[in-house]
Amino acid sequence: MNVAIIQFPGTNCDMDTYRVFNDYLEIDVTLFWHENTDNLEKYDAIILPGGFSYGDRLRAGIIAAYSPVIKQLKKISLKGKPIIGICNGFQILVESGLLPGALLTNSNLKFICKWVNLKVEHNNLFTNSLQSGSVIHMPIAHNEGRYYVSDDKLQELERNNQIILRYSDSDGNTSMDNNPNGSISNIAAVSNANGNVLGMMPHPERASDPLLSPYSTNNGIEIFRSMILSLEVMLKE
Amino acid sequence: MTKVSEFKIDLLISPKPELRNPEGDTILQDLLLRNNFDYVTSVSVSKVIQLIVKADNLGDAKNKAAIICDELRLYNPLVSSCTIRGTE
Repeated sequence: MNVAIIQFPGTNCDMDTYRVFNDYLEIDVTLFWHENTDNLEKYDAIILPGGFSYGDRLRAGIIAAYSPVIKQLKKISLKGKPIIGICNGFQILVESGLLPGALLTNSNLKFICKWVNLKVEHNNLFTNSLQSGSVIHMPIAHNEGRYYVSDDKLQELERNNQIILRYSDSDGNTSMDNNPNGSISNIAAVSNANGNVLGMMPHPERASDPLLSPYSTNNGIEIFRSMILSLEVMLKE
Repeated sequence: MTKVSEFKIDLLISPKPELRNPEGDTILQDLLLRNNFDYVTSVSVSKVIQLIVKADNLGDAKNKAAIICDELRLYNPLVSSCTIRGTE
């Protein structure tokens, strides 16, 4: 199994993500520069890490969304391989059309950097190691994290179980009081209809070592572990 | 032979009215209304991207700009609209 981490100019969470896969999960992992013309298809899973690709010029994620590596990624997504976009990676996935919706400036107009409670809404290949309905902890760090979709699309996401994580309180209650950025329906993570592409504003790579967590938890690593366990099953089939 | 000229094209990218515009809301509530300019009822902040476009005429320049807007998503049609204005 080999996981690729895509790097753009301005990506800054690549090495944290690399460390989690390489050191903690002991999975072969490759840093893949966006201009690399190698075939991305040889990798089993692709991660778009956080940062500020192209300095967030024009709109967060939009310029990276038109890079050649994303053209490859679109083809790969159709084959069902797991793809995770974290923070700026999530923004790139929505701008490229691989995920629905848009990510707008936080409703308080501020860059928000803090740990949040997240309710696990549904189990899919990225959350199978977590209990549905449980509350986990991860940090967010973004300026454009206010997720938006039309009302019709929101209902479709609900029907298809595409809402994976919601901002909540410590008991799993979701309301505007525990919605840090104004996201519609407290959405923190969504998947595509096929369930193989995940976008999330929280940073699992920063929540993968209990030493780094104010809760002494490592819930973030379970996102990656779930993906690996699901991949092992997929690769055997 | 057609003469090719340069045209200044402004792309006015505005948030859709049904979406919250927190920057506009802040200007309205915390600047205008707080300073008694209460005849203003709404503020919305937009973005302008200015292009200098080589084209045969202004209509051609606007069409070329529209193609760029659509193909490269200079604005996000889910959350914003784009008005194209131009001068020679």
